[in-house]
Amino acid sequence: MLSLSSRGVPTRGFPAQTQRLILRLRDNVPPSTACTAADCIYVSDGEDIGIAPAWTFKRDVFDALPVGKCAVLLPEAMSYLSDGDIIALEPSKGALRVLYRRNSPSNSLLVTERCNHYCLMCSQPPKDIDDGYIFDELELAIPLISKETAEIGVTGGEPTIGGDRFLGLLRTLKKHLPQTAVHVLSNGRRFVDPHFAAAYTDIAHPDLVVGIPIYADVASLHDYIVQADGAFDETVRGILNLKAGGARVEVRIVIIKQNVERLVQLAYFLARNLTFVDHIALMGLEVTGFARANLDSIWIDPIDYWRELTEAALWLEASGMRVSIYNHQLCTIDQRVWHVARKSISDWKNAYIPECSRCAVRDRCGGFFATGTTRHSRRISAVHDAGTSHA
Amino acid sequence: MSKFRPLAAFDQSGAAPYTLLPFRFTRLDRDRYVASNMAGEYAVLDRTTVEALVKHQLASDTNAYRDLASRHFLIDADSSVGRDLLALKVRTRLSRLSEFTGLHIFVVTLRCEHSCPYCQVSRQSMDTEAFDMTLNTANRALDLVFRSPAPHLKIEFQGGESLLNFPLIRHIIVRAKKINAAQGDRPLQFVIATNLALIDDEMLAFAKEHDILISTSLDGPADLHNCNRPRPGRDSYERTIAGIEKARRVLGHDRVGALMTTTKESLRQPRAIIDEYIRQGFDSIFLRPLSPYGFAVKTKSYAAYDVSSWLAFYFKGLSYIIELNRQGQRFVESYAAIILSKILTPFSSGYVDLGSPAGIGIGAVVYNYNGAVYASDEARMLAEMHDETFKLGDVHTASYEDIFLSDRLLDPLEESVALSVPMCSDCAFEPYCGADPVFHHATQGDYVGRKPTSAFCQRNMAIFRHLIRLMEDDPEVRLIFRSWASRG
Amino acid sequence: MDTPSAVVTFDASLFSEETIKKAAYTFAAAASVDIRRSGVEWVCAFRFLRPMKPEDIHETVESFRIEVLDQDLRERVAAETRETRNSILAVAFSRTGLQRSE
Repeated sequence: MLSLSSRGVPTRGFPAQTQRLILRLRDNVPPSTACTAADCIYVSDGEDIGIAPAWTFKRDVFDALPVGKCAVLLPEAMSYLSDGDIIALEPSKGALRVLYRRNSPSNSLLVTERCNHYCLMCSQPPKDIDDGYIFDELELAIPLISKETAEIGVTGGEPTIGGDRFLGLLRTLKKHLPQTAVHVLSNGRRFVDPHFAAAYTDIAHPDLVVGIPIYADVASLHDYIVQADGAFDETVRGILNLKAGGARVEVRIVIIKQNVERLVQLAYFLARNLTFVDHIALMGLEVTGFARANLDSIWIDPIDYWRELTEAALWLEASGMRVSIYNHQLCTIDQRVWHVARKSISDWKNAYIPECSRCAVRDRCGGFFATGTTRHSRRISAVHDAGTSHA
Repeated sequence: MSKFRPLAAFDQSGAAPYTLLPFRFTRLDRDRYVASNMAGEYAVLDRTTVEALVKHQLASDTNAYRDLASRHFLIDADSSVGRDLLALKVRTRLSRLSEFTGLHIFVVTLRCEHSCPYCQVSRQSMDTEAFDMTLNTANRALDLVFRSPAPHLKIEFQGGESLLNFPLIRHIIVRAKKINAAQGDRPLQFVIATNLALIDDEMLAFAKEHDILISTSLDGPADLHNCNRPRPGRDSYERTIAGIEKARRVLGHDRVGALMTTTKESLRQPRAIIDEYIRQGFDSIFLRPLSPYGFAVKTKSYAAYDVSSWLAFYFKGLSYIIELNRQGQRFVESYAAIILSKILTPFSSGYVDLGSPAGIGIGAVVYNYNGAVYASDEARMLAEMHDETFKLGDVHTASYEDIFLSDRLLDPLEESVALSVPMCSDCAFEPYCGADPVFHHATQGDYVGRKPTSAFCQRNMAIFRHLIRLMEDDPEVRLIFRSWASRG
Repeated sequence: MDTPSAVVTFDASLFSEETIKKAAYTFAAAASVDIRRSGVEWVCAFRFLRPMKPEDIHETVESFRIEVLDQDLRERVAAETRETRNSILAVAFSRTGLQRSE
C-alpha cells in the first residue's frame, strides 16, 4: 500500500509566512517555456536548476544546496513519486499530501471530508470540519495535471456538500482536462433539488459519470445502512432528476450482511425502476474506516452470498443493463459471472496473499484491498484450471 | 456500533397504517394468487397474505411486506417515492400510444401458387390478376403511410404470395424511399412475407440493395410442412429451405425470419418442429395458434382442435425449449417472449394481438389489394369472409382524417380498453393481455367478448399462469425468461 | 337429462349486490347463476350447463364462496385506491418528464 501523505518532511528556504503550496514535481530543468511557477525540479547532484524550488530523496544533496534555495526532502516511502506528480506542501509544518500521480490509472481528488451520511461500512469516515480550503488547492492543482490523464475521480466525504464550489470544480476540470473522464462519487441526495441537478447537467462535461449508492430496495434498510432518515427517497429522486437532464449515472451497491438478503430484490427493483441508469456496480466490502470498526456486525463471507450475487448480476445483465462486480476475488464467485468481474481495486490499495501465487487466473483477478488481506473469505483458493471454479 | 442507530430507528412503517396502491389479484392455482399493479409488476401471494394486505394487517418486518413495498403495492411513512416511480412506469407503458401507426401492411396480391387449407387470407388462384394491387392503389396508400406521425415506419408486403407481384413491390420501395428522403428521412424498414418458392437472384439483389427483411413460413419438418402447405410438385418444404439458404447467403443470416402455423397434424410433434427450426439455424420460434379467419374456418382447420389441445402442444414445446436453454442453447419462444416483456420489463410490447388498447390502427394498418384499409391483418382476413366491420375506408375515396379518425377505428378501440371490460378490470393478468376486438367480433359477435367463454381469454390466462408458475418455481427459468423478455 | 343445480347463500349485510354479481359472472362458462334477494340473504341458484359429478359441484360451489370473498376484497382495494389511481394516471399522461411530482 502506497504512502500518500507524510508529516515532518524536511523543507528549507521557503519564506516563513508560506501557507500551502501546490507543487508539480519535474525531473529536470525543462525549457523555460514549460516551467510554471508551481514547478519543482528534481536535483540529484547539486546541479543548477535556476530559481525554481527543488525536490530530492537524498539527504546529502538536500543539505548541500546553496543558502536560500527552496527545497523539499521527500521520504524514502514516497520514492514512487516522479515527473508530473503533484503534491500539496505546508513548508512550516513539513506536511505533505500527494494529490496526483501521473503514472497511476486511478487518481482521485478528495474534495471534502464532510458528509451527510454515516454509513455503517464507510471506508473514509466523515469529519465535521471546515475544509473548504481543499477546493482552493484543487483549483490550483487541476491546471497542472497532465492533459493525457485518462480518468480522474472526485470523491469525499460528500462532494456535493460543496454546492457551487463542487460545480465550479467540474467546470475547471472540463476547461483544463477536456480529454479526461471524470468519475464523481456522491450519495446523490443534493440532486433532489432540480435546480442543482440542472446546474450539474448544464456543465455539459464531455465525459462525466456520477456513482451513487443504493443499498436496498426498501427505504428503511437503505436509510439504516447510511444512517440517515429520508435518504432513500432523496437519492432515488436525485437519480431521476439527473437522468431527466441526460447525466450519466452509475448505481453502486456495497454488499454487507445487512443488505445481502434483499440483494436479488434490489436487482429486480433497479431493472424495473431505474432501467435507464448507465452502469451498476456490485461491490465487495473494503475493510477500512468504519468497516474495520464494525466488521463483526457487517462482514459476510462472499462465499455465503455467491448465489444472491450471481442471480442479481445475471438478472441485471439479462435486463440489458451494464453490470460489474467489483472487489471480489474470482475464487469466491460463480464462474457464470466472471465475465463481469473487474479488476477494480486501485493500484495503491491492492494486494495478493501467498495462496494467490499458485493461481492460474491471478492476472484476471483484482486481488484484495491491502487492508483486507487479514479478513478475507475462508474459501480463497488458487484456481488451477481457468475452466473450473467451486460454484 | 454504539455510534450507530439500530434498524428500528429508521423503520417508521409501524407508526401509521400503510396505504394501498392500486392492484388486482387473481387465483394462480389452488393455494396461490397473482397480484399485479398498474405497471404490471407482480407478486405471488397465498390467500392469507392477500387478505392481510387488503385489511392493513400485514406486518412491516416480513419479507412479504418488503416485497410488496418494493414492487409498489403499498406505501408507508418510510417512503413516498414509490408513487412517483409507479407513475413513471405507467407512463413508460403507455408511451406506445403516442407512437401512432408504425406498421403498414401492403397486400400486393391475393394470388398464390400454394393451396394451404389453413390459409387465413382466402388466397386466389394463379391466373386472376384482378386480385393484384394496382400502381394507382399503391401510390394512394403510400401517401397515407407518410401522413402517419410515427417516428419509425415499417412497410410489410403480404399476399397471397407477395412475390407474384414483385414489380409492384419494387415500385413501392423505390417510391417510399424517395418520399421519405424528401420528408426528413425517418427510419424506414421493409419486410417481404413470402413462401420463398419463387425467389430468384434478381429479387435478392434488389432486397440486398434496399436492406429488406424476409419473413417466410416454415411449419416444421418436411412431412409436416408439405402436408400443411400443398403446392404443385409437393415440394414446398424443399423450396422453402433452398430459399432460406439462398436468401441468407445474399442478405445475411439474421435478415431471414420464419413463422409457423399450428395445424392438427402439428399437435403431436412440437419437438420435431422446434428441432427443425434449430436445424435451419433459427434462434427463435413463434408457436402460433390458428386464427378463426379465412379458409381456416371454411375448411374447418380452425375447428380441428380446441384450446386445450393447443395449450398442451404449446406447453410441451415450451418445456423442451426451456430444457435447451438450460443446456446452454440460446433459443427463444416468441409468444412467451412478448408476454414476458410485459410481465418483466417496464415497457409494453408492440405485438398487435396482445395490446390494450387493441393496437388496431395504432400498431398496424393494412392496405388491401383493392384499396380497402383495415385496422389490422386480422381485420382484413375477416373482410375476405365478407365481414367489413373493421374496414376503415378506401384509399381512393377517403382522406387520412376519414380513415384514422373514423368511428370504425375509435369504437372498438374504446370498447376494447381492457381496463374497463367486465372481468378484465378485475384481472391480475390485464396488464399482460389485450382485448383483441377483431377476434371477439369474429367468434362472439361483439368487440369486447364474453370473457368466461372466450377462447382468447382461456388461452392467454392459461399461458400467463403457466409462465408465472414456471418462474416462481425455478430461479433458473426466471433468468432464462428475463433474457427472452428483452427480445419480446 | 336434467343438468345439476346448487344453491349458495350469503349474508346481504356483508356483501354488496355488485360483489355477488361479479363473482357469479366469472362462472358463466360452467353455469347460469340466478341471484335473488331474500330477506337478509343473497340466494344464488346455480344451474350447471353440463352434467357434473357431485364432488365437482361441491368444489365449484366452494370456489364460488371464495370468489365472493375475493371480490369483496377487490371492492375494498378499488375503493381505497381510486384516488391514487386517478392521480397516477394524471401524472402518467402529463408531459412533465422525469421530474418529481409534488
